[in-house]
Amino acid sequence: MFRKRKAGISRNSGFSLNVMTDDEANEIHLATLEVLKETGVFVESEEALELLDGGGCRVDPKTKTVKFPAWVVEDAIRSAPATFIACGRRPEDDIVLEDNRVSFTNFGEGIMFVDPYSGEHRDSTKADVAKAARIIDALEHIGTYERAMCSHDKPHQVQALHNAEASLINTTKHHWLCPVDRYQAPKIIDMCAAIVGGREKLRERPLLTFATCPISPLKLPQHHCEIILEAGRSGLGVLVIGMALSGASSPVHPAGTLVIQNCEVLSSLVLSQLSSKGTPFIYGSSTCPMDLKKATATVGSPELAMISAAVARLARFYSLPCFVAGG
Amino acid sequence: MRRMSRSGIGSTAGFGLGAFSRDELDTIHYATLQIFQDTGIKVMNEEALEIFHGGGCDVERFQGYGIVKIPSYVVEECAFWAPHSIVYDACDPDKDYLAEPNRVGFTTFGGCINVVDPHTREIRRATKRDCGEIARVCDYLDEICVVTRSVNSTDVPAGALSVNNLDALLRNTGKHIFLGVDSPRSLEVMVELASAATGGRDNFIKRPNFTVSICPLSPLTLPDNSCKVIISSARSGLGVLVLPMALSGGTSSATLAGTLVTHNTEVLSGIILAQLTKKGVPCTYGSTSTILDLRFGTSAIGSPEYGMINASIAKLAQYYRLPSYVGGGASDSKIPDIQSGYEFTLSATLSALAGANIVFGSGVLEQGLTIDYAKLVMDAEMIRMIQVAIGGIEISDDKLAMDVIHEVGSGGAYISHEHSLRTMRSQSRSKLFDRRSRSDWMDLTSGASMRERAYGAAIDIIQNHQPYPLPEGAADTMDEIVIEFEKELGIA
Repeated sequence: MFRKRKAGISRNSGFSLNVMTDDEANEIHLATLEVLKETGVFVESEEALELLDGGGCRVDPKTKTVKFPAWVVEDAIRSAPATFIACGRRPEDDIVLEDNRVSFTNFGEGIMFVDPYSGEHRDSTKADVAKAARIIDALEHIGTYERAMCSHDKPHQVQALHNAEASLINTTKHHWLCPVDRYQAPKIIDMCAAIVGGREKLRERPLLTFATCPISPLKLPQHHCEIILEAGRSGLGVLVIGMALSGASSPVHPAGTLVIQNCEVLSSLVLSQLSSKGTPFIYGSSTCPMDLKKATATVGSPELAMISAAVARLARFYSLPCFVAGG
Repeated sequence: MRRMSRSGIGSTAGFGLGAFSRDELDTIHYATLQIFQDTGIKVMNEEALEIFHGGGCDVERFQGYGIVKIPSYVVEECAFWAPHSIVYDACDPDKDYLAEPNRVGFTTFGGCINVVDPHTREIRRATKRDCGEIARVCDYLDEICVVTRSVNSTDVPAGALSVNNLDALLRNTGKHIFLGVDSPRSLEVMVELASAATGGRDNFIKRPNFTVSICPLSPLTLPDNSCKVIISSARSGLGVLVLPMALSGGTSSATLAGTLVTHNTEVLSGIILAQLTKKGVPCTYGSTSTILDLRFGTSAIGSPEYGMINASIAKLAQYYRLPSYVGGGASDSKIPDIQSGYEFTLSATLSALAGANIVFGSGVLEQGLTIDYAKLVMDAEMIRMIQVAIGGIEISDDKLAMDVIHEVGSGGAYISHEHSLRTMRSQSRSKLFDRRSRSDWMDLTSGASMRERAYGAAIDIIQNHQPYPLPEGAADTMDEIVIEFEKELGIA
């Protein structure tokens, strides 16, 4: 029997989740623009305030509240790249992040550690960070590296440097690291430059992306602004992870929470694009509900999964790479 | 600020699975029609062959069986004659279950032979008592929408199996029941039993509280007993669930698309026989197909393929506008452990997102051989979470709460806002899953694992739950019916 080719039938290339329609994504977008324009966002850093003022935002220097006209936000969405190559130390470690391509990484960061030898539940150390990095390096299906724990045995002021050292030595995968403040950020960049052979080489193939979190509701704290600005200056991408707790720092309903988080992430996006147009920007979410009966952040709840799925959908709506909690 | 209503914007009424385009479903349908016309199905019962012949099919007879080739108009008419929305009636009218496209409910796996004793944790053959006690737990759990005969009463004589199963189920649940039937004669006795339990034959005929499940044989065979049971169920007006278990790589193509085609052919062949016997008899589109793990020679019901096949089947059933009863949540693990949790979640979530009417698989371990009470109770907790997830995120003025967002502004607190207090009940709530802090968990449970708490919960249900009461005197009548039948078989 001849089975000739069929003329263009439509096909699903895989299973997917129908989360929301374009109309619904647009609803969230419009609501976000409204909050950004009418209520605005608190921005702590003077440098950031100046930049935003110059970029067309209305800044109240007394209250440090910034109100964003819609065009500023939408320009920033357009100028951020839709595709991000998360470079590893070696080209074979590179992972392409864009519309619908799915990869996995570990949770970050745990502050406690279950010791695999003694079973004891204790503070994590620099040695633990290093070991976890090595395990992640070995796991084929973990595409990129996030710092799983922190070096509690090192002084607080330089912990980020120790974390970076323990990580960079033990895995060649792309790093998502939070540099914590403006003092440690350039030193971490220097470490990476030492690995790849100079700052220029690092600009070409950045093996590191800075991760940073706003504070809900609607606050961009000092260090958050500084990390975004530093990333822009050094040619690194920046991952902004919304960390609202619905019911505590955002509304109980996921819809309202998505708006709050979208405001925080998009206002950070504006800052990143004003500091250096075209800087890679990754839309992140680790938002989950506060269980209002037990007063705990429930990362195991269905709502976390639903919010993360919705964020992935929103990021696609904006053509931005995304990084969301799951698992 | 006034927010007037928006004119019709497109919205999703929940999270759903995007599996196939319409073109792809058409492709599966046309491939199925071709199998029916050119290769045909093997039918191992003379009366069924006559019914097919009378319905317009070509029948070619061989020794002990016939090959039936079915023209496409017969396939399409029969699929159309079967009712598109079914209410699975229950003894307890509050527990009737409406199966329309995309309404999702759950039940247990069916036909296991072992049970993990909740007291001793010993794995042993399941008895009639277990059959009833598992049904009682299912009756109690709101997450279970209909009750399947989870285990067979392996302590009763073989010919009286289905009668005894039903007897045990009727005494322990007021929900609709799905179970297999030994023979047409057993079915008559089962109708008597159910009539006694529902207050008389008239009541039962009006609101039949059980559906007969039959399994075709893969590939493409309707065995003798399946034909007999389909014909006699249809004649008594009882609904039929056609539930093939194709094993991809064993009894069907190693490619999943090919498996879907033969699976579809097998289900439709059962439905066609039922419709040609009695037009309009309720039919349920079923599946427990999976892959044969070619390295271990086992049917891997914990595999991702199990979820993928069964979610696809739910989509196919919707294509034919038939209610669906598909696998999801089963496990290959031998104990209720982390593996069983992972496996439950993947396939149950896929089938649920696909909009299957009944997702069956709760409580089962070990490739479908063993039922475990702890897993059943833990699965019920996860079902509640899945039900929250498929509900999706409503994007509306009410839920966006824009006025509250403006009011709280930057740096304010939602936790103390009146709006949070008013809406907090919409959050998912856990009973067994522990969401407390580590120290509270240690203080309250001394670190007991969820599994231990789940066995405890199951034992409590078995001892204390009172199922929907039988009519007065029904229990004695049912005893007599079972004894009479066993005498008739010469085994009492």
